[in-house]
Amino acid sequence: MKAKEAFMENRKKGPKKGAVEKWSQRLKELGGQKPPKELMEILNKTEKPKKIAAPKDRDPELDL
Amino acid sequence: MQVIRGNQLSDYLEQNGDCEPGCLADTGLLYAAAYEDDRLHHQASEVFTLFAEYDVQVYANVISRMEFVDLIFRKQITNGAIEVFENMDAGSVHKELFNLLKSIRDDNTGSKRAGQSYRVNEAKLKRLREEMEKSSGPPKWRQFCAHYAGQLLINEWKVLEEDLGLYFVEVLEGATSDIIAKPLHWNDMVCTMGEEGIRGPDAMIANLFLKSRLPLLITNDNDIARSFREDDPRHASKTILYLE
Repeated sequence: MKAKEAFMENRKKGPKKGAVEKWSQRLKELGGQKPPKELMEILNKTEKPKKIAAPKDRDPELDL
Repeated sequence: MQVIRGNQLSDYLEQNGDCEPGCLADTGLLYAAAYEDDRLHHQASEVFTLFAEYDVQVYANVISRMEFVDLIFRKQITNGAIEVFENMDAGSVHKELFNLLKSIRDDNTGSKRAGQSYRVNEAKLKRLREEMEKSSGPPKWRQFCAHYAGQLLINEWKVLEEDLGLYFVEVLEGATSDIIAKPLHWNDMVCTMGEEGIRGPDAMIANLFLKSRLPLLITNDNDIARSFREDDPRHASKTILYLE
């Protein structure tokens, strides 16, 4: 009886009930996380609006 | 040798008792179990439910183990890339990265419509790394990988394998073990490649299955299934569960 008990204790085990649901859900959660905030702050850098220079043919007399 | 389909597994296990010492699984079953968007996820889930009920151990070779973790890594990075895209400003100065992320998102959408589970291939993974490092630096690329895949791979992988009842066959050339009844030879694998016209990883699984004490192989790969002959006496005691 002891030998049989030892065998059953050392025998490798099959899958746990619900293992597929547990791990597919875990992978889904990991994959659906918001990205790291610091990363997005860098990646969301946008171009600054350009300053419009004064036209070259503008008559300075008009500024008076 | 007999080939059974998904709904016949229950009858097989009923007739064959405990399926000792276990079954051999290829990467397709393992990946399908992991991701809901794989078309075989429901079947894979049912297989593992039955294996839990009948306490059937699931074996894979080291190639399948590596392929499995690689697929999970690429899938997690794919999902992470889509999340970055969806949180990225279209006016970002990092236009090349933005366009690359958009293409990944579009490929994923297209695959979903076709009932397939998309993950970036090696070429796209390299490009993604290149663009993200160019935009934000190598440490941020590593942070991105750790966020979507690293935590699982480093901290939880062992538990995942234990929960799925996964064990790995590692045998040296010409050796036998409690799982391997006849010596495994590299040459036999190469011969299988040439005779059957199948790739190395598939030939390794076919060769391992033939030489092992494992009575059942589970695969969604037609090449592996077709490399066995139903009327070959060497294959008489073997059964293949073909997922389709």
